[in-house]
Amino acid sequence: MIDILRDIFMYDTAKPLLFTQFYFWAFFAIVYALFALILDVGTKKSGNSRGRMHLRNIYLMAVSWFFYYKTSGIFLLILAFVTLSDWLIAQQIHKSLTAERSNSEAVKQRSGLTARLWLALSVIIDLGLLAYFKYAYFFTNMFNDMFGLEWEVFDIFAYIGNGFSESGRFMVDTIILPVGISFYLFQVISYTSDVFHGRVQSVKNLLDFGFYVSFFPQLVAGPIVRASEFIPQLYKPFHLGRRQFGIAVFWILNGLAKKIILSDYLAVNLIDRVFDNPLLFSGFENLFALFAYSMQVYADFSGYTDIAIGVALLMGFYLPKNFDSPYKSQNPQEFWRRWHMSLSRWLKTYLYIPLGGNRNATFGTYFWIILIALIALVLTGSWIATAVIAAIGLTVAIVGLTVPSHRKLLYANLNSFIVMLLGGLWHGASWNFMIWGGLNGLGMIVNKFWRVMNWHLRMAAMLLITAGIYWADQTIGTPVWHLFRVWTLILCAGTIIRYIYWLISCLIAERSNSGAVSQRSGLTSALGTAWAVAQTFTFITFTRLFFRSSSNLDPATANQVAWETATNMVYQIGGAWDNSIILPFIWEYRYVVILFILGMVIHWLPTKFKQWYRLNFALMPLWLMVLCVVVAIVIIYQFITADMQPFIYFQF
Amino acid sequence: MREMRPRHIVLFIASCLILLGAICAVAEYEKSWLGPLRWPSLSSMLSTQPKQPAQPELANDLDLEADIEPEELVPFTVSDTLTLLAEVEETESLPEPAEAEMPSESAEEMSPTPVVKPDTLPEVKPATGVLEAFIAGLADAGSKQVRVVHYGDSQIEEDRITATIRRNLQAKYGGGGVGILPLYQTIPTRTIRQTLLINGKPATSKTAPKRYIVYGPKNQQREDDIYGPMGQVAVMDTSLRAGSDSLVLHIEPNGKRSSSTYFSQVRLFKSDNIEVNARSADILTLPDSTNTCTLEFIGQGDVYGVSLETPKGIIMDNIPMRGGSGNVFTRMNADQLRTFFRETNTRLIILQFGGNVMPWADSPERVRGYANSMRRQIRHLRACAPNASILFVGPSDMTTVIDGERSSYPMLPVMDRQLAQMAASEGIAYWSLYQAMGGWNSMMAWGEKGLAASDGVHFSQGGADKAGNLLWKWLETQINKRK
Repeated sequence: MIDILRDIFMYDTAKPLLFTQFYFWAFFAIVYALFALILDVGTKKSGNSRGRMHLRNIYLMAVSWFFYYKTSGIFLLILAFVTLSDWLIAQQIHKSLTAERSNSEAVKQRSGLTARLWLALSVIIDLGLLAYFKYAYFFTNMFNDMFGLEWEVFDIFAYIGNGFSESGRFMVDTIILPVGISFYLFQVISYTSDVFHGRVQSVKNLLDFGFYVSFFPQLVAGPIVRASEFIPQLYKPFHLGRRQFGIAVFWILNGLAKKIILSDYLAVNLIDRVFDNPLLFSGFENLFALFAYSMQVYADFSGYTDIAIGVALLMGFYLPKNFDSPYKSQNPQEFWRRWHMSLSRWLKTYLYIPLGGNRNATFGTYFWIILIALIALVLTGSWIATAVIAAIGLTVAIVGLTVPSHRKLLYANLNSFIVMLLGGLWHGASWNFMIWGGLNGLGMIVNKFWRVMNWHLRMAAMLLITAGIYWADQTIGTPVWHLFRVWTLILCAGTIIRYIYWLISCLIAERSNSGAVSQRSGLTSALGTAWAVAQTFTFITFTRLFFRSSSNLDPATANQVAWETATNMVYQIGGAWDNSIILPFIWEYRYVVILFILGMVIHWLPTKFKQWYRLNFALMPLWLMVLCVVVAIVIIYQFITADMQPFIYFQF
Repeated sequence: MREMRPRHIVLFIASCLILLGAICAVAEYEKSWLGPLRWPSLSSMLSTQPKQPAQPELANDLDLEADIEPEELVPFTVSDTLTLLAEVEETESLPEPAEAEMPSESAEEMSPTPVVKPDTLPEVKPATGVLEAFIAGLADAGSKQVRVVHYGDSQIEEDRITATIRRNLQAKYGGGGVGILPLYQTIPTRTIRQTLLINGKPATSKTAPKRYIVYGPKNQQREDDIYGPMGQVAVMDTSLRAGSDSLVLHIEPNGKRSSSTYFSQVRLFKSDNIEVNARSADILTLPDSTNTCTLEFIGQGDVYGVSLETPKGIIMDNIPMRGGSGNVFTRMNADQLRTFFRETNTRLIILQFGGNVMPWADSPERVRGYANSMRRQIRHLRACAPNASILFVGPSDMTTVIDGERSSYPMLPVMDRQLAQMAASEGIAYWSLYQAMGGWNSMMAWGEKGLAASDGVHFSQGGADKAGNLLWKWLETQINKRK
């Protein structure tokens, strides 16, 4: 019994409170029982009194802090620190802005500047913490490379924790990334910024604010809840409709199934093996594993947020949608509107728009270009990569200044490219994440230009690219060019078919003298959509080659491992395939293959159909819903792998 | 009900938990009611200790005549299966010599669900002086070549483990080069990057000369047994027209340069009618020590390998046989092997196999069957290389899933001890990688430190370096002991 209590209350790195663990649900059942006690004891009306709401917020904050302690131990102090600092700073911003509104012109100016300085301080503290924990190794490497030093990271917090000693309970020579720090720091930045821009009132009560920052369902892996979306909910009474309850239960089951059946099972039984040793597997196996990895990342991350949304909803809180069937996207822009939506929205509001958005380039635009060029220099050690990035920035600046008609288009693309690169770096300070972000940015820009081209130009461009790649493959002949050749040939074939279809449509329109090309029929429209979806999915899957980072703390090693994995996979996929292995592979890995196909089919089901079955589940009698939950959990349990699989996005 | 109050939700959660708990109780007291379904029992849910399958007793009633049934193979990869199937078809059982008998134990004495610590397994007394030929040969390393040939399964691919031993041996006794390489490399190594150009374009497995592999599936095997020392041969046939088609092999270091990437001569294992750089000699002496070279092949015939080496010191070959279990040497031409070992002054042959049979070797009989088949291979190799010591490196620890829990393959300790016994009785050296790693479930422990791949079978690069160092330390101790 003492062991069980110790397991429940003490921090143990091997036993974090994961949504997929029995301990989490036991914890949640107890938490919810006390939650109900706070809100429901007494009359119905009193459940929604202000005092009870306040008590509910304090209680949920305490629970959230306990949850974070169980997940991250002593790092709870960082959470506490940013909660306090940003709460205090927001108060100061609020005060300055109030003074601005009520005073003379001179005071207004001073107050505006003061508020701005407070905001800057908040951003510096928050990004400083992020830089310390996430980018310390990277900066150390950078200085070592630049000045020929042999510095090693030194964890000042561990040093202080040991009573100003290098030996003791904490290791000073490693800096461990606190779970979820990238998420909650972005959340507090959104708060001070929203207060500064008047989008939300500063929170008077520290405990209420603490609750917003640490609300446990979304604390460690999002969705990143913006202050203006969540803080008003702190002051609203509990209300959960019958249908909403059913939907919450559905999201939880849906998330568990995604995480355990699609993500963990595929990972353990195929994906991890291939990514660990790509050379042990044939080209087809590598390609299949790469597509399966695309599915895994989605199922893992969206599974987590489905559960988070469901759990929060049971407590009467609404978290924003984080995924909207992203692999249904028909182009990379759409993908980023449907994938990790809370991060995309955050980056748009707090980075893209301040950079000038689609209208202008600001000091920030050039600052980031120069910084990214420097980072590229450090990561690659190659002046060529740096020169390419700097040249892009310079070209855009010159064209922007000299050709005003293209200015907006160029600035918009430059800003979105910077956002994608920084989005990549948010995942980790490594070359592979930068490539990943850069490829996504490039994909978005190319697609934007493609869409405004006429069909003749598209066809000419496609033929030119295909010929270029064919020539490169013939001349250089490495597997990566074989891969590109096959890919572009498929794209070219698709483009030719679409081009011919377009020409025929034009001819028919001309003959019928209507002049306008008729709308595509249902079948051709569906084919066109399927083609666009398949292309986008393939492109996003290709970028995933660079998304899987090594777990090594040292970015130099992590980079090397990640880079080798990517090149070895390309080597296998782009090399000649041993086709005799395909059928035996499908048979040996039949469950993995079936699950992957099933996962994709469910993903691609029409939204209306998904809403229909979700609603039917939500409206079923409660006794039947209990039975469904039990049956679903028993089924899901059959897929549980022996090892605990942490959520992929915990590492970011 | 239009609204759900928290108390309703508490009731809902409680109902779910009670029903799930009831299933736990069923699993505790009458598991058969659940049929094939897996479900935790109440006691395991409340237990704070992770459940681990028991380590089995070493079985001693091994059946020497165990037949190998290919249809029961459980592969790591599909290509492993194909390879293993090909090997297994050729496997024959041998009567076991009397001295190889393990201490026997009656069936009644064996517990049906035993938990045995490794130290309770019967000890094997290793044969003495088994590395004598190798250690004595090291004395000549200052004046001539001393060759070490490392054959193994996928565990040594990419020059893993071999590279560490080679680096240490060459640092201590001199020598350079990475030893033998195939004409067309299908699996890149971490040490050397080689590109085969056909008419100026990099070869693919379709355009490269036809490859025959002794450990490959039937369609990749040749009709005769002339495979060369690597067990694979590239055949330059009539599809390459001498004079008009050019076949160029370019070799350079992959990543960091080290003593192993520098070499000063290239030894060619090929048919006489093939010329390399316009010469038909078997050894091309380079003007100076280098880490790159370009070789142009002309003619028709077999290419068994290209060895990068120095005229003296240690030369160590890395010869991985993917999916193989080592049962192929008897299918390689004995005269050819004999010539190779003699002419290259091979003083040590390392055989690192056993991992690929673990999914199949699920009974003591099968373990003994495998050890027995390896005995035959060792005898064959010893006959081909009478001046060389033979070192058998047993399988690493390997993880599998039993009843939903990860653990070592139950028969691994048995396999390790059985192979040690076989090695002792054959008078060859044995090094237990399994024991050196830490024994039972050590691959899981290595995995936690980032030293193992997630398949629980292979090492990560760091793990391979560590395993290589462990083997080197052992080898160094053996060498020092003799001194």
